[in-house]
Amino acid sequence: MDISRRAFFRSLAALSVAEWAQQRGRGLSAETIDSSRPKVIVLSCGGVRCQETFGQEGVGNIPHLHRDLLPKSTFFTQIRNLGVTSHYNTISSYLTGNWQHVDDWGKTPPESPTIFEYARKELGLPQDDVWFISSNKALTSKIGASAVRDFGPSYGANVIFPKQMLINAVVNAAAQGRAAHNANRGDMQAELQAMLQSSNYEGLGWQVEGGSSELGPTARSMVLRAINQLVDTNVPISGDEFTYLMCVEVMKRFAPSLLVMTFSDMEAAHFGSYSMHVAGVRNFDRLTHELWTEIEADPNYRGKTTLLVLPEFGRDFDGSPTNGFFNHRQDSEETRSTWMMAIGAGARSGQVVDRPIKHVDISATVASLLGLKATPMQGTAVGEIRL
Amino acid sequence: MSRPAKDQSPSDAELAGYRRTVARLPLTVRPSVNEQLNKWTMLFPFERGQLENFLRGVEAFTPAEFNAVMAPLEALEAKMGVAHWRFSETSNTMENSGQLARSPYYAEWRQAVQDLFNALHAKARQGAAAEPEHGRVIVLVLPASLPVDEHTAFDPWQARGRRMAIDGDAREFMRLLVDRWADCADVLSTTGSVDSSAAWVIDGEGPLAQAIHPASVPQASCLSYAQLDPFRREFLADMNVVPRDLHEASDTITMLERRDWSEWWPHELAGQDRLKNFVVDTYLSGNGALIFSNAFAQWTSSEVLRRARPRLLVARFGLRNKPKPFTSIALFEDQTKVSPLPDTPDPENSAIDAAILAHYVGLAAQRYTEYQRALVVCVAEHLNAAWVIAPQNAPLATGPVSLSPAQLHRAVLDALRA
Repeated sequence: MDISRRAFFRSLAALSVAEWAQQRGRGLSAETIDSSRPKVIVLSCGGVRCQETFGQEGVGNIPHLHRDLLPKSTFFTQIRNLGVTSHYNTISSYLTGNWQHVDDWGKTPPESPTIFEYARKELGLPQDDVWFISSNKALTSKIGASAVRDFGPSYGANVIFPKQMLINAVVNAAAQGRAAHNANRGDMQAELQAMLQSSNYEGLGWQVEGGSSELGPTARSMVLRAINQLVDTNVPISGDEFTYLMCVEVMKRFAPSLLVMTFSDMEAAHFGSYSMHVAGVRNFDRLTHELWTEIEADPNYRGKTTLLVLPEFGRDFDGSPTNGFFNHRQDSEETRSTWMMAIGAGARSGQVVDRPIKHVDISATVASLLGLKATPMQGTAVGEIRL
Repeated sequence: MSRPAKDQSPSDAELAGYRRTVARLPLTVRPSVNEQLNKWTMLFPFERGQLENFLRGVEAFTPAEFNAVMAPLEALEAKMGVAHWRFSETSNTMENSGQLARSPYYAEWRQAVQDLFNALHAKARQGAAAEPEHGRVIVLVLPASLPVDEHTAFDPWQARGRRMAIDGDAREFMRLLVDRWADCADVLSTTGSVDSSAAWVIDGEGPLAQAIHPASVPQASCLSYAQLDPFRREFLADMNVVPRDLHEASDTITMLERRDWSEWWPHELAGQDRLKNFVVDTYLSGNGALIFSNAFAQWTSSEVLRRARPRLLVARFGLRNKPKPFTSIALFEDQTKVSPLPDTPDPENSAIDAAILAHYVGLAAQRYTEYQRALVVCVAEHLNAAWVIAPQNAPLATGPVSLSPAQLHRAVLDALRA
């Protein structure tokens, strides 16, 4: 990160914190945390450059992150992705705390235990207490657990891909001669519900409740409710919208201790539409704010939850041989360097941390927040995020 | 080693000689060179020249020099364990790319390859006669249908060049360029550029590329998003069955490369196999060329600059449709098939996309020394204005800040003559 950007982050954080302090008198503090188990939610999004977010020209795309959440957060100006800047490798790196060099398309599980496995094994958590919910099409359910001996799927997370469900419903309807259903919210509801039938369910690539071939009644009713919410909403339908609604339902039904969710609307950049990419960034901004509002409104989460928000990586610089914002393949600052926001129980309002930290530090930080002891990994816990 | 004439396929004996040369190279360099050799007839003259130079560079080293130049990359490949990978030597497969990108030594490998290519090209240049420099022009058009504002259209260009007002109707400039295409062709042919890869017209809408008279010499390479529509849709349908498994994906891509597309290829472009091969390669390389007209215009133009180094490139951007409810979740699907809702143009967002992508074409040109002195013109018809990057001392670099469409057209011809 260049000096000017650092200075900009500092000044904007100072300004925002001052404004917020005037309004609220004091920030969130550890005193508000109750004695029950702490909860951690990690929300990552696909590739987005600083220039489209916290850069001087980008803050207009993220009004909620900038105005509403930044003053409440510990803000990290330099998160370094030193691994393979593909989705599966990046996400599995921050889930394991070790840089992963596995198949980009999720054909193989992470090569070291995920934070889900550590948490379940050491704390004895049931599977319903750890969830991974993602919009990203480049992932498979193998992301939820490693194949490491003494760990593995029996300690893995529930893994669901709401956007894939939506895609399958749209493609399936068209393939079956029911393309007309794709134009109508009510008909689409039926198409989505049909995805839960066992013949379709297997194609979703989910891993829920031990990988059974059908959803159990609680999970099924949760998904049906998210579908209803989706078709009833007034906002444009998107993969991230559905992922968000599903996350909220999971929070309400299961109140997991550890929830990791990833958004990907901004990945429309791969198709070369800058306006759609930016629309994805704005959607991410809005949904992140809604998520925080939901956390604060939910007694299971209020006061004891730490929310970590970060992009997986940036995107390539304008003029790069890899076609700029379209991709995230360059070994460059714009691609490798991004930011992170910590909000809630483990964060300190208005703190800006300028030292570089790494994606693999996320897992160690989550382990620390959950009180885990035995988590050997490359990453180290970020000291500024603690209970 | 004897070299093939640029317009002929190498003989079997020559090819065998080339392959022996390639076999001496480090493993990770071989696929791209072999792939080009296999596609010799589909290469543009610039690519053939580049390949010849590369092979000439290899042959020019003494054995000791050769070993010294290859040693760093070979040592790195040994550390990476490339010899134990499932690594194709004959073509750049997805599996090759994936294995390289996942290696912890990937960044080092890229640098070592770059160093090796630099050394080879430096060796090839020793004693080679300098090619005469000719004027080059890039014309980018944001058509009147795109309501761009000043900020969106020209802010990205601020680092170089200047804004010029176009007196009258800016659309007249394109009309002149198309109607008097023979003038451009004359300038190109009299300065030795007779291959159709010397002049390109890439159209994100439709009528422009089809309006270029096919009898011009050189015949321009013309591609339009609309004209390619049936081909694109068929290609997209086939692409969408590519499985996520890399081995099978590579097989599917090979099938797409080899498929006989004659039925879908525009009949106006019949017989232009090299052009068809280029379009297939462009579609397969992604970047939205199969999905959005503006991405098609940008990525095709960037690939044209990289692969053909044309003297004249005209790229026009256009309108795309609004994403449709629900089916926009599956952008990679043919939207006319998955949704019965009518297409609705999205001029505002098309303008945003087109403006940044036009600038990307300008940035792509900057990567190549051939375009350091090129005239680059980005016309925003909606604003009756253009951003102009002209060579130092050229009239457009220093003269008045407004000009007529006819003057701009004349400036294009003058720049090609320079």
